[in-house]
Amino acid sequence: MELHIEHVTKTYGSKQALSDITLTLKPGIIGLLGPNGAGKSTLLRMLATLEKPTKGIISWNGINISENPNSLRRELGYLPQDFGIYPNMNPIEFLEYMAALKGLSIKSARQRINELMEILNLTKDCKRLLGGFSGGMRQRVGIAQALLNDPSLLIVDEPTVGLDPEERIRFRNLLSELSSDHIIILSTHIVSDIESIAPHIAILNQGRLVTSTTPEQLIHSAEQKVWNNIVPAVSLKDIQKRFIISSSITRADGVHARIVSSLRPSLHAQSVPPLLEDAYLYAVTSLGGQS
Amino acid sequence: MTNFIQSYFYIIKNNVIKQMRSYSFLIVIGLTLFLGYFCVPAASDGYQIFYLSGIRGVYNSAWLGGMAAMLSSLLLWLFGFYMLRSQISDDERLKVGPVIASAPISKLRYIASKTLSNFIVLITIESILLIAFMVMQLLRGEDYYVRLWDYIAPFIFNTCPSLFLLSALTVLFDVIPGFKHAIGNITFFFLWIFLSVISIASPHAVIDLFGLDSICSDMVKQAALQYPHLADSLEGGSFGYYVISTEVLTFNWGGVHWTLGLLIYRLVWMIAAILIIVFSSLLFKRFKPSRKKHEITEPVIYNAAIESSSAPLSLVSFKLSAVKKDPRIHIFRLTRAELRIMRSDLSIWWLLLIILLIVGSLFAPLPAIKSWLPLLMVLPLSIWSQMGTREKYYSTAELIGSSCPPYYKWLSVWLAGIIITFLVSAGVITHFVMEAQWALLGSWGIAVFFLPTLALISGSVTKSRKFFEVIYILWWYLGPINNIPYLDFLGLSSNHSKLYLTFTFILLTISLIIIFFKITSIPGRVCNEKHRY
Repeated sequence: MELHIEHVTKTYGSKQALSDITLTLKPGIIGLLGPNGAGKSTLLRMLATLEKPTKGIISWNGINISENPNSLRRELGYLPQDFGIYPNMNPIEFLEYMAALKGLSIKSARQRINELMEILNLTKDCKRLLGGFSGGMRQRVGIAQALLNDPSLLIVDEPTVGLDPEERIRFRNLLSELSSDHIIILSTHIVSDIESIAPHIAILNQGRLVTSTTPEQLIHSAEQKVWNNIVPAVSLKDIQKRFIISSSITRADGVHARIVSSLRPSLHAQSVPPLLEDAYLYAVTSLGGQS
Repeated sequence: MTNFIQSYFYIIKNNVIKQMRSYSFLIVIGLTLFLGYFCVPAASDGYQIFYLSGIRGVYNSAWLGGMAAMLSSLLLWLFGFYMLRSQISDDERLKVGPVIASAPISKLRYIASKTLSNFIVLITIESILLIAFMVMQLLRGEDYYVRLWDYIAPFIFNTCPSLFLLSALTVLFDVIPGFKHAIGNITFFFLWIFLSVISIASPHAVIDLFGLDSICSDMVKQAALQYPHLADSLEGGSFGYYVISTEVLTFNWGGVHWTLGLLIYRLVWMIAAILIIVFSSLLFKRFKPSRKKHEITEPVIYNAAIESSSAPLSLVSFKLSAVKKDPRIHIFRLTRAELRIMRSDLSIWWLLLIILLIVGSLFAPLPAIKSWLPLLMVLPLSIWSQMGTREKYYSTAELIGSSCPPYYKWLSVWLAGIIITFLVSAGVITHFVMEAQWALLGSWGIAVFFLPTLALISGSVTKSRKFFEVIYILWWYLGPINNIPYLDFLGLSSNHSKLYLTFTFILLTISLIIIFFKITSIPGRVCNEKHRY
């Protein structure tokens, strides 16, 4: 089971959304990180057979998915960032409809629908119309449809948006459970989601692959680049203009600013061990989009 | 006060910008310019659009200004309504509704701003038509003196009141529960027919909403001074495509003399529009979710597990059982799923009405019900019009596009549409068989294939329900109801089954070509709605 992305470029008119991306994915979870407009959703849409690369090849188990999208669709579960549902159906009817589209036998799909409803805490709402669902509930229905066909490749774009903390934990546990024999691509802004479950990270910025590495290596690359600097509150704006600040906490002795920088920001600044979020910021700002 | 006017100005400005940046607006502008050219034919073109027993006015400002006022009232009313009728629904669909609902804007102000925005769009279209007519006056060269007042007076006194009322109706039909889609479109169509008939047939200016009588009767009166035979003619003036083989006779028309009485009649309609705005604001629910959304559906037969309450996190098992994936997609299964989706939009009342009509068309004597049979073919309108547009409307295109090959999806929707149409026609088809009406059976049977095909391709191309609904209602009214030759797709008055069979094959071919291009299209153009705009 292998998904191979080879020198993939995507342009819309004169705008280049993705540039020369090469990546090979094997079973396990890969976290896809990047700022807004980095090209994450474009890459995911191409992997989900909704778009074709302008240049390059995406192959699933050796088959080019641009030429033969159906070879992947049977094995694919996709949760887009924005999606709709049919408001006049209940979740079970909607999932049965999706099961038919995915070419599943309804008999076996029903058992799986039950299990998914239970896991995603939708059981007590199974007879309600989807039109009355909250954002988090709709998101869980979206997750359920993505998992319906036991996909070998699961692509989830910002899946935890709208989920409460308990549901986020449930979802992360579910992904961990599936990760041994599935390729899971988890795209998100929430670094903590990735930190807890993804043993591999790919960072995109400005349409380029900044790095593809493990969280440990990413953190290691940011060592001696993260500083704790205590500054008066009035100086904070000035520091924000000059440095990347990953967090700041106001205390009695001033503002404790956590600064990501290759250089020591001031004589009083003290080096601190980097967190994944610091390392991500360092990668995006210092390595930029150069492959 | 200044702030109030300023904020009003910005609300309306943004609404107007939103509408004017749509493709449909550009299409309407293109059609308007074409109309401007087409409706002012040269003497050698051999046709007339406004018929006064073979006589027309000299192309001066008064004649063309009057023509523009009458044409726009008749045509812009129908197409303008369908273009602008879903401004409030769009706010809801695009999820702007809750933002607006939480803003301090009052319901009346919101509704009035929507009405005024629509009114501005309509008068912009009308102004473009007027400019096109002015250009045509100079091009045709029968009178080079452009008198602005002769264009502006019918525009202000005649067109503006009727378009203001139309703007109010576009909003009213978008806030009346149940009138947002097909039922509202059908109702408005009949309202337009009713108002047009009254306007054309009635000599009383007060109920002449379109103001046709005030202009048209004055034209006939003036023409009769020069051509006395017109005074005895009952034909009056009428719009249409009239082939003229002889030389066209002309007369000079100086325009309507706008009396105070006439202006007061027009004012009545402005007041009516204001009352409709107030009424709409009372009906407008400020984007509150409908009660239906929270309804519980019929129990689904499932095992006991689903009745249990959700388990604590620590006890949840994440083991999922395997699913059986078929090596190929079953079109029967997909079609059944599509039928289920189509059925989910229908109320129990609709189903009862259909059953009643099926039984009625089966047992009532054919000669007695023949002229009523076309009514059967209005009921599935909302199902047909959603056939190619559902994924776009409900934003499910990405979920479905990544799950199912497009040609299977297309085929299943097409088959489901045909099955629904066949079921609706089941009574009448059986009746035709029982009475051995083979010709009628053939033409109706072809319509069963033709209508869903037309609906599916209209929806796939335009991504809008309205296009098919407008075209279909117009076609249905002219063909099966009014028996205009070649337009009767049901073949009740005249049999054109071969023609509609050909149409069906042409539409199917176009559909297959579209799907082929969708699958093999150049990179970057594949079903990407976000980047298309």
